[in-house]
Amino acid sequence: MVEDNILQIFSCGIDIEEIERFEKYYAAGASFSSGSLNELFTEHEKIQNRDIGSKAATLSFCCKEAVFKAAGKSWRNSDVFWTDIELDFQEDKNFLKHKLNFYGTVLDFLKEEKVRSIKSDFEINNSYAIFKIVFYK
Amino acid sequence: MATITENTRDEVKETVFEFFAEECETDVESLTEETKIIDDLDGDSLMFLELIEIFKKKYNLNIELKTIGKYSVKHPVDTLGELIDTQLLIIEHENDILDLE
Repeated sequence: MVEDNILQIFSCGIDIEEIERFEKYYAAGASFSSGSLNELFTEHEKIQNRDIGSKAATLSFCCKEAVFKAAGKSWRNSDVFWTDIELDFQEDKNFLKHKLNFYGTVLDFLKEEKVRSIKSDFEINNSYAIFKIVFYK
Repeated sequence: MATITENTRDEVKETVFEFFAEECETDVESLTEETKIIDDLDGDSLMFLELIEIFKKKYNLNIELKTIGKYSVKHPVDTLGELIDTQLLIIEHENDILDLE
């Protein structure tokens, strides 16, 4: 019998992205196009992408992909969408702080599955971003 | 909405094949319409998104990613041939593609 106060791992997701692939779209200070990639980000993330540049965009995308994997869902096989997940750097341009916000179908999923705790972490250098997330019940 | 001509499929096929050949660092001659995007080419979401952006600009398309996602739920794409056919429908119907169902 499992005690209520013990958290069990429900699922996990990890993603890695090359920063170079985002640089052509999100170079720091570059003016934004109205391209499809902008549809991936929340208004707050768009501001971060503008202020911080391609590393912020890469990490945010990486985070969304990791969450999709942890949820076992994809934008092409379910109703989830990238803007259901928001990575907030809390105005720290050095990536020392972060907070995850969930909306829409991802938030519904977390409630339905009774996910009680979420742990996330990331690494970033000049070439790659890696985001890891674990859901606990 | 764009009018699909006999040449449109050839144009779309050429764009799709050249894009994946470059992104996946493989010879365009090795690609066929039966090539599986994820299993054979190790394709990913960002490649799909970049390709959508290429076609949006090339054909001045009015379509949102959410619409493409909703269409893909019922019409999954595994191969390059399926991607070409879906892209042609997007070019022809844009945001009205969901009305085809």
